Amino acid sequence: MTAVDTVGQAGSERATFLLPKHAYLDAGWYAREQRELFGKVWNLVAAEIDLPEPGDVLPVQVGCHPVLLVRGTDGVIRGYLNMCRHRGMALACEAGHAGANVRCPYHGWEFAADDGSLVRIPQRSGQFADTDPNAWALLPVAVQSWAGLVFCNPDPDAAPLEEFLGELPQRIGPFDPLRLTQVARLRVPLRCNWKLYIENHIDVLHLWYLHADSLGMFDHAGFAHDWVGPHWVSDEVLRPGADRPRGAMLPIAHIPDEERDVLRANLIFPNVPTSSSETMWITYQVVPTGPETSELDIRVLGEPGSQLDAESEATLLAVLRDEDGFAVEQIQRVLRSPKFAVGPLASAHELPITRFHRLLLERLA
Amino acid sequence: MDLRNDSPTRFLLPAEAYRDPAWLEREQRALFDHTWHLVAAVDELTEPGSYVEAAAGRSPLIVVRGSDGVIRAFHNFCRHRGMAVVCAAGRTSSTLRCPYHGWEYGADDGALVRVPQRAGQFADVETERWGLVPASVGIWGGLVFAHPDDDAEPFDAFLGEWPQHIGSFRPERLTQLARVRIEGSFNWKLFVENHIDVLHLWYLHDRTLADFDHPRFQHRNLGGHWVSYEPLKGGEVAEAAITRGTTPIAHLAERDRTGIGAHMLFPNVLMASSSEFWISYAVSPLTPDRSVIDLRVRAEPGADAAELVAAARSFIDEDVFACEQVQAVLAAPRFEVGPLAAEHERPITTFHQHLLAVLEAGTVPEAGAVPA
Repeated sequence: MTAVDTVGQAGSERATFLLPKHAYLDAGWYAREQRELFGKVWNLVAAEIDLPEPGDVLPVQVGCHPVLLVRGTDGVIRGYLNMCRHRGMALACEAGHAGANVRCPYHGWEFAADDGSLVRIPQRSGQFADTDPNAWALLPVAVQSWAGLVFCNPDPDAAPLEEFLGELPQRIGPFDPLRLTQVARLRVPLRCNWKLYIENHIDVLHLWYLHADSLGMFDHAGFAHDWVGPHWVSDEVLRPGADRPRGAMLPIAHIPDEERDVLRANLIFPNVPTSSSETMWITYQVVPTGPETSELDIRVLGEPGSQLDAESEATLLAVLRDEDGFAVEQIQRVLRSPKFAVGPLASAHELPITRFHRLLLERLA
Repeated sequence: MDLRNDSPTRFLLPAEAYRDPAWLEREQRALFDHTWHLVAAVDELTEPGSYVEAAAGRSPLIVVRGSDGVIRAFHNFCRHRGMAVVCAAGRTSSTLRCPYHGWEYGADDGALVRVPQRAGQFADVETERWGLVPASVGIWGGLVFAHPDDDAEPFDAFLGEWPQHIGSFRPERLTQLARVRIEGSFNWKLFVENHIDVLHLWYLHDRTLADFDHPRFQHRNLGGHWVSYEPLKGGEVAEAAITRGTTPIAHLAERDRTGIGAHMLFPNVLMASSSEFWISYAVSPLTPDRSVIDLRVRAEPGADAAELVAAARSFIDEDVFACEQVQAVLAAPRFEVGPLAAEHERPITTFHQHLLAVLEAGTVPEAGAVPA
C-alpha cells in the first residue's frame, strides 16, 4: 500500500493530468469511449436481486449494445443482444417475466431463455419454409456475477470476470455482500463528464478540504491506497475518540470489530466506485449519459433488517452529491472557458489520476 | 431622423443563426470571449473584500473589491484543477479560498498565497506562476463591466462617444434598488433586435408606451452602440404609464424628465431611462434558443423598487413575449424574414453588420453583400 506520508512520487511516475479538455466535451471522444472502453470491459449492469425469479428479464444498455439479461430456468443469468434475429425488434423494453421462452412482440418469434435458441416461428411452414432456426439463435453476450453484482462484457474475446477482477475481491475488506440486503437505490443526475467524478473519487488530497466537516472524523494522514490491476482500493480509520456519523442503520453483523472504524473507498475499473463502513456497503456507478452528463447509480447494501433512514441518506448524499458532485459540476462548467487549463497535481495524493488516465488511454489508443 | 446609412435596410442573418449550436459556439469564441460584459453594480460591492461571481460569456468570473477599494476581476477557476473558487456572493477579510483542496488566493491581486501540504505534495511548484487568471474591469454609471482578456481593448475606447449621448443622466449618482433575472425561450439576438427596432413601439407597446411621441423618436448608431430618445406626447409626466413621477431623479434636465431613452452597448447590454429610473438589462445566451436577461434598476434612494420593476417589466415582458413567439416559429423549415422598415428597422441591419464583422474578423459588410 502507498501510505500517505510518502514524500515525492511513488516510483518513477510523475503526477500529471494526461487527458485533454476535449475528452470531457467532445461527442467523438464520447463515442470512442462507448465503443473501445465500455464496449470491451466488464460493465456493472444489474444486481442479482433485479431478476429474482427464473424467467425474469431485464433490458440494459452496455455502451452501444442493448442487452437483455435473462435468468434461465436453471437459475443462471445470461445475456443476449436485445435484438430479434428476424428484423431487429427489441425483445423487451422494460423489466418483466418471460418464462421459459422470450417472445418477440413484433412477429411472435420465440427464443429459449436458457440458451437463446430459436424455438418457435409463427406461420413457419407457410412463410419461413426454408428457414433453418438453428442459424437464428439470439446472439449471446458475456454475463457473469460477483458479490451479487451482475457484469456484462460485450467483447466476444472477453477474458472471464474472475480474471478481470483479479485480487480485488480479497482487497476490499472482510465484507460478504451476499449476506447483505439492498436497502436503497438512489439515482442522482450529474451535469458533468463521468471521468471527472472518478478522478474526484481517487483524489486523496480533497478529503481534508472539500469534506472537512463530513469526513473530518477520519484520519486522512493514515489514508492508504493501492492499485490492484486496473482497480483501486483504499482505507482510512476513524481518529481516536472521534464519533462517526450516526444514523439509524444497523451495524453489519459479519465483520470483525476492527473493521467497524474503517472507511474504505474502492474503484472497480472503469466507473464503479464502491465504499464500505460499519453499516453499509455501497456501489455508486457513474453511468455516462453524454459527453457532459452522467448519472450516479447508488446501491446501498446493509444488514438484513436495516433501513436507510433519513439521516443516513442525508449524510451519504451530502458527501457524494452536494460536495463531490457539486465540485465536479463546477469543473465541467469551466471547461469551456478559453482561459482554463489544469495546473500542477499533488505528487502522491493525485498520482492515482495519472494512473487512471494511462489505463483509459491504453484502451482508447 | 438622425441616422444616415446608404446601404438598404435588410435582415442579414440566416435562420440558422438563431437555432444552430455551431453559430452560438462561433459567437462565444469570436465575440463574447473578447468583449465587455456587464457583470455587477458597484452597489453589490460596497465593502472592501466583498465579491460576486458573474459570467462573461463562457468565462465565469470573480468580481471583487480589494482592500484598497479597487474593483478587480479574475477568472473564477482554481489553477489546480478548475473548481470554482467562489460559488456565491460574499465577503473576505483576506483571501479567496478554493473549497476543493484549500488553495488560497489574495483578494487584491489573485496571487496564490497558500497551498496546503505544499512541502509534501507540491514541492517544486512555483506559486508565482499559478495566481488567478486576471480579467479586465471598467466602471461606468455605477455599473461594473468586465472583459475576459487581461489585455482588453481599453474600456474608454469601447464606450467611445456613447456616454455623451445619453442625456443628462448620471446613473452613478443613483442607487441600485432591484435586480431581477428573467429567463426566456428565445435567441439572445432576437431580444437585441427588438430593443433597437423603432417600429414596434406603436403596436406591441400600444398600451404601455402610448404616452410617448413615436413620430419624434430620435436614434443613432455610434459604431456598434446605439442611443435613442423620445419625448412625452404632452400631458403630465406623473400620468404617463411608466413615469409616474413619484420619485423623479433629481439631477435631470427638463428634456430627460419629459421623455424616455433606450440605448445599447454592442453586443448585448441594453439600457433604458425615464424620469424615475435608469435600467440595464444585459441579455446573455444560455443555449441557441434560451437566454437570460439580467435586469438592474437604478433610481433615487427610497424610490419604490417594486413599482419601478413593474414599470420596467411592463414593456420588457411584452418584448419577451414577441421574441418567444418568433423563436418558436424559427424552427419551421419555411421560416424566413421579409422586408424591413427602411428607417425604423435600420438599426437591425447595422447590428447584423457589426456582428458579422466580428464573426468573420473582416470588414463591416455592406447590407447588400451576402455573408459567406
